[in-house]
This record gives sequence, structure tokens and C-alpha cells, in this order.
Amino acid sequence: MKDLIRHGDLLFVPVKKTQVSEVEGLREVSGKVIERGEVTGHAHRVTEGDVTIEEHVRKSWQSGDMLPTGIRYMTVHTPATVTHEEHKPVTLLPGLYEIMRAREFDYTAGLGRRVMD
Amino acid sequence: MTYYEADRRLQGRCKNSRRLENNTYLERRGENAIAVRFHATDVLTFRKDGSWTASTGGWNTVTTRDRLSRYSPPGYSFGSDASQYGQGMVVYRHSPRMWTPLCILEGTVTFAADGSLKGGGDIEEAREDRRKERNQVARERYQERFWLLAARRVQRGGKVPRKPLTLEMIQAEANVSTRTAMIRIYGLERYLVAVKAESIDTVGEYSLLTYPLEDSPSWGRERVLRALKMTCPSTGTCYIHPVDPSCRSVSEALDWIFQTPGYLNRLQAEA
Repeated sequence: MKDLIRHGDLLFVPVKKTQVSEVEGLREVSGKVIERGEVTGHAHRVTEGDVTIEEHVRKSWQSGDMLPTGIRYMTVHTPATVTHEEHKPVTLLPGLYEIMRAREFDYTAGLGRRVMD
Repeated sequence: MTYYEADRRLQGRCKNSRRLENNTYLERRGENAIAVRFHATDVLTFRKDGSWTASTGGWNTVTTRDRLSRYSPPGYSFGSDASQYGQGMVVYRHSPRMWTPLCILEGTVTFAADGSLKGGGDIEEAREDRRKERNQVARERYQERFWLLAARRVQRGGKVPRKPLTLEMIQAEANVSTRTAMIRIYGLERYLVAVKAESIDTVGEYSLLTYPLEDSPSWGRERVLRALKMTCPSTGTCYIHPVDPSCRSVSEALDWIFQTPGYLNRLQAEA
């Protein structure tokens, strides 16, 4: 079944609502920017459609602040268009998506790390 | 407030101390001085001869600034302007012109009866320091974006920058956009030849490359670097994406990158 949509370094993976309802500590993200590039300043943003973006947060054992863990979900209520300065737009149909961010292997540290752009 | 106004308020049973507001007291300091104490700091001290002293006691806070502005003699204000003078507290005088910056309130500043002041940081020096700091940030930001901007210039037909670019610099760069820009300037073919890359699997535009790693720790794995060569379907830009050395095929590499099994078979659209 073909269900994955890639937009640059982001991959939208459809997930079931029951899978997400079990996840605790979800916080709604304001605005329609899904991810912003660290150096380029370019952003994956929703320009059309009604969506809700949520991110998973956990309590910091040091400060007690709620810190994002990097896991994000997007609920698409009406067909949504995701745009980026360097990529062609993609359209997402209504549903619930997990937003996977590409990772790469850091050969100095011997670990995988999130791609920065 | 002046010494005489303060003196008028310290009468009767409050002749030595009077509460002004939260944590703020007007207190006598000997026979010729009255202080405004905020917590444990005498933020303002008025003297009989007309001179007065302002001090933050190291507490550069909003409330200290508020107390200083509220109880200082008329015509003076305390504020901050981080964009112009950095983090320090600025002393302003409102005559002959409004909001004329006088000095930075560092330690203690004493104003004589004739309006002359002693102590405090030089306002021009603070402005210059802030300007240097801003330039430094801009320089660092430019350095961070140097290769990105250079690649854009080259793409538009501009000159290749003279700044030396080595293989080690490319491999040490953590930011994928910057790294891609560096490879673009270095030349993709030249880069692949320089790292002695071999393709071990190809699927459409994707190619899994492997090349020997000489100077990196092995981390219990093979001393090879595996990277997926990907072409962006929107821009045609080629990305070299390091993947886990255990990846043996393009499919495995893509699954590892996006942490999603069956990526190639499940892909509906990409941009």
C-alpha cells in the first residue's frame, strides 16, 4: 500500500488514531510551520487546509520544564498543502500523520542524529 | 524625589523609616542623608547638599529600574536599551532634551547639586561595545552561511570563492544544507573520486555509496562510510547522506533514514 509522502527531509507517515491516543504528553504547536531550517531559515509550512500539529513533550529532570522530544503528529482536517522554499508543494489528505524527520549517521560520534538544514 | 521631599515624609513616628511600597522603604542614613532602600540595597541616597546617588547593587532588574525611576529627582529616568547599549541600565536626563542618555549605571553614580555626575560607565563606550557585539554576531552568522551563499552565487554564474575548501572541511560539516553547498562548490564528481567512493546498490535516482574511513573511530563496526546519494526531485540537487554502516542496500538505507520500514514500496509521492 502506497501511503508515505516525502517532502524534503520530512516524511509523513499515516498512523491510526488509537496509536496516538495512547501517547501521553502531547502539546499543540501554534502556527502552521512544521519544521524550520537551522541555517537556511527555510520552513516546511502548511499554506492551505486546516491542520493541527502536536508534539510530544517530556518533563526535564533538571529544570522540570516540558521539553519537546522531536516526535510530532499532524492531524489534517481538510486537504492540506505543505510548501517549502526549495521543494514543490505536496498535498495531504485528511487523516492523522506522524512527521518523521530524516536522520543521518555521525561517523565521529558513532550515532544517528537528526538532519539539520 | 529630593532630600527635602523625603525629609517631609519622615516625620512623627515614621521619622526614621517609612514604607513606600512593596519591599521599598525610605530610611534615614545619619543626619544629612536619606535613602530609598529596595530589599537590602540603597538604590537612591539623597543628601542635604542637593547631591544624590543611584545604585543597583548589582541587581539590574525591572523592579530596581522601576524604583530608581519612580523615586529619583525630577528630570531623570532609568531604563534600558539593549539594542543600543547592551544589557546595562541607562541613566537618562530629560533636559534640555527628553531621553538624553547620560551614562550606564555600573556600581554607583553620584549626581552633584549642579547636575554633574561622577562614576558610571561611558555611554559612547557602551554604544561602541554593542556595535562591535552586533558586528561579531553578523560576522558569525555570515561565516555560518558562507558556503550556502557562495553556492547560490556560483549557481547564478558568480565566481567560485577563493576561501580554501578541503575534503576534511566537507566531512566535518554537520549541517546538511551547508555540506551540500560545499560539495556543490567542490564538485560532486571530484568529491566522489576524492573519497574513493564505490556504488554498491542503485535504485532509480538513489545510489548507496561506500568509501573507506581512515581517521574515524570504528565503534565496533566496519571502517567504511556508507552514504546514500539522493537527488531532490524538486530542485535536482544531489545530497550525500551518511547512513549507518550496517546498511547494505538502498532500501535498507532509506528505511534507516526515515525510521520507517518498507519506504521504497510504500512511497506515494515525494517532492
